Amino acid sequence: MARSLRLTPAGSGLRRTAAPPAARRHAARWRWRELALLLAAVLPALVGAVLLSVVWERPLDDTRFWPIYGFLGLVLASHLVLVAARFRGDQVLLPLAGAIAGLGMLLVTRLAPALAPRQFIWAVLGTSLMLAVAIGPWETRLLERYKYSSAAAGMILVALTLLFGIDPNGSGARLWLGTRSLAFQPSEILKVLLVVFLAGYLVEKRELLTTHLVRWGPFRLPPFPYLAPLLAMWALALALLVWQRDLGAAILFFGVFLVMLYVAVGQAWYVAAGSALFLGGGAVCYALFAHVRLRVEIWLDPWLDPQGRSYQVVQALYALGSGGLLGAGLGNGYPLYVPAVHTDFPFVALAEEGGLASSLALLLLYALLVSRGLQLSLRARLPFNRLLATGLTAVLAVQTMVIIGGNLKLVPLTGVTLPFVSYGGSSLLANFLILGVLLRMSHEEAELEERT
Amino acid sequence: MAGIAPADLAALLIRLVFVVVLYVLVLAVLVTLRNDVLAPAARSAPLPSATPRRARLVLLETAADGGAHGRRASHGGGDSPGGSGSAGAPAAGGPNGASGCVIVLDGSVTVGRRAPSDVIVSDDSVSAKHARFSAAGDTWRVEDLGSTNGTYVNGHRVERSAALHSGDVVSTGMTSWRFESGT
Repeated sequence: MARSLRLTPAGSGLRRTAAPPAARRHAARWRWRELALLLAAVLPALVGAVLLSVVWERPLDDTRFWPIYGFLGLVLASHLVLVAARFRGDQVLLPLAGAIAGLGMLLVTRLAPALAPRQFIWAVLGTSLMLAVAIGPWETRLLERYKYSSAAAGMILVALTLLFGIDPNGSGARLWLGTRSLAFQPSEILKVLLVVFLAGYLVEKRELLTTHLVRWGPFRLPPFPYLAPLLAMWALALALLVWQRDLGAAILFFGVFLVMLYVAVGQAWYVAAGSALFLGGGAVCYALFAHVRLRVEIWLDPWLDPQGRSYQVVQALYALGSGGLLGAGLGNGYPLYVPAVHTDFPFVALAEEGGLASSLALLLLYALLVSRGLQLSLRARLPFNRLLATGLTAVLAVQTMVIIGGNLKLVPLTGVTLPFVSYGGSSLLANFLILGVLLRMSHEEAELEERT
Repeated sequence: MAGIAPADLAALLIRLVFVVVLYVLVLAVLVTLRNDVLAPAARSAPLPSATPRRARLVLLETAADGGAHGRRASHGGGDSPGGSGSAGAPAAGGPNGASGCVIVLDGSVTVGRRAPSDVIVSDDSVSAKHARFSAAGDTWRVEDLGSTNGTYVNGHRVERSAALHSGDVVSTGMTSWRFESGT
């Protein structure tokens, strides 16, 4: 019976909060738009499988292709589950993510066929998690209460990784927890926890960050107690960079943090100051630590050591260059010359074998996914939900930019995954979790809308 | 050099189809998003300012200065299916929009500084659970929920609960409301 609304001093007024799960059940309603888009979404991976079967001269029902078919079936099954659960939320997110992840399964099958069944199992877990989150009996706004718990959980994860981290595949950074055969990458979960914390914290404190400014020399800053958590974020990013050698996670976390700070506070100078701080910290790290210097030097001039330290980057550039407009055709190129292509460079593999046309299409799919996420955040009524959606979408966006930028040698190469595409279980799970939360939020909004 | 093997031709065709289906998908999503952006203009338009069916609270002043215009959620139960009546109308507020905000009372409505109060006021002088407005028969009553700073009706402290008449001024902490009923 809660009819909640909120008087905020923010100037944006009374907001309706999500009502508890519907007391009355709705009639089942088919999700036609989702179905139509899904039919278009499964086609690229399906056509890709046909192409591989021609090039590899293997029958279409070869076991190699089962993970692809299995995954496409999984996406369609998710659709049926959503219909059966009388899910009212967004109808575009699932087809988009399904298409991107379908291309991912196709690329993993192409690049590392032996790993594809494993990736498929992770996809089963991921979609199950997504569905559970999307239709489960909970509300996204309840996450606001767990902001400090999630910050604490994140810190514990970082500490555990620092202490007990392992490096199962020789990437030079101990970023995994677990055993060699079953390792899990905490930074993937950490990014979700971080967004929950930041959304809760910023909703509560954004007033203080803009109004109660005190003079600190030439600057007007919020009082130290309110500034401290923000500085802690900066310290966390640098700590990841220095001790975990995880440049990707550092850039990702700090980028998402700046996006959320800007959206919450609406003052560009925070972003400018934050970026300056990060660049300053990065410059100090560059001067002090060899592994940071190496990354930057490889980025600035990969041709200094093409057979050695920058072999991966140089091979990726060759692969990109040979792609051309339409590419060599799936299965016809040589993307396997790029080390770790299935985790770090799937975009390059697509660019080589599918050409500019296919890789641009993939970029467009990401852009559409991000724009849909931001649209959801604009429609949300609770400030917390707005920030949550913005943050989760920013995770996907920043991560995509950082890794594709690294692939294209626009920014230093980092080890973050390409969302939904790269081989990697933790990453797939985390991305489907993000998708589930966004779906859940859209469902709550739709229910509210139907009632008014 | 002339002949192309049938397998190669097939592969070439399938490559083209691959690119085509990718862009068909992009286009399909784009069209859907476009329709979505164009269609719900009606949805985001302000709700019609419904006349209160029973009673309402008009925000007079609050320490939580700043905007307080907006709408309120109706609820699923009760007698407001589909939502004709219970939408609270935003009244044009003062310069900062704080005063003039209207809360429609239907059923029982609690006021406080935190969830799960129905009406949440960001005013430190308001207790987390401050007061409840509810109808008993024909009359509306306000009940103090053990607040720190008390609930007042026309300046008189409410001990447990008090009846309300149209035009009464109810104070919860530094925030005050005008109660209106009988339309």
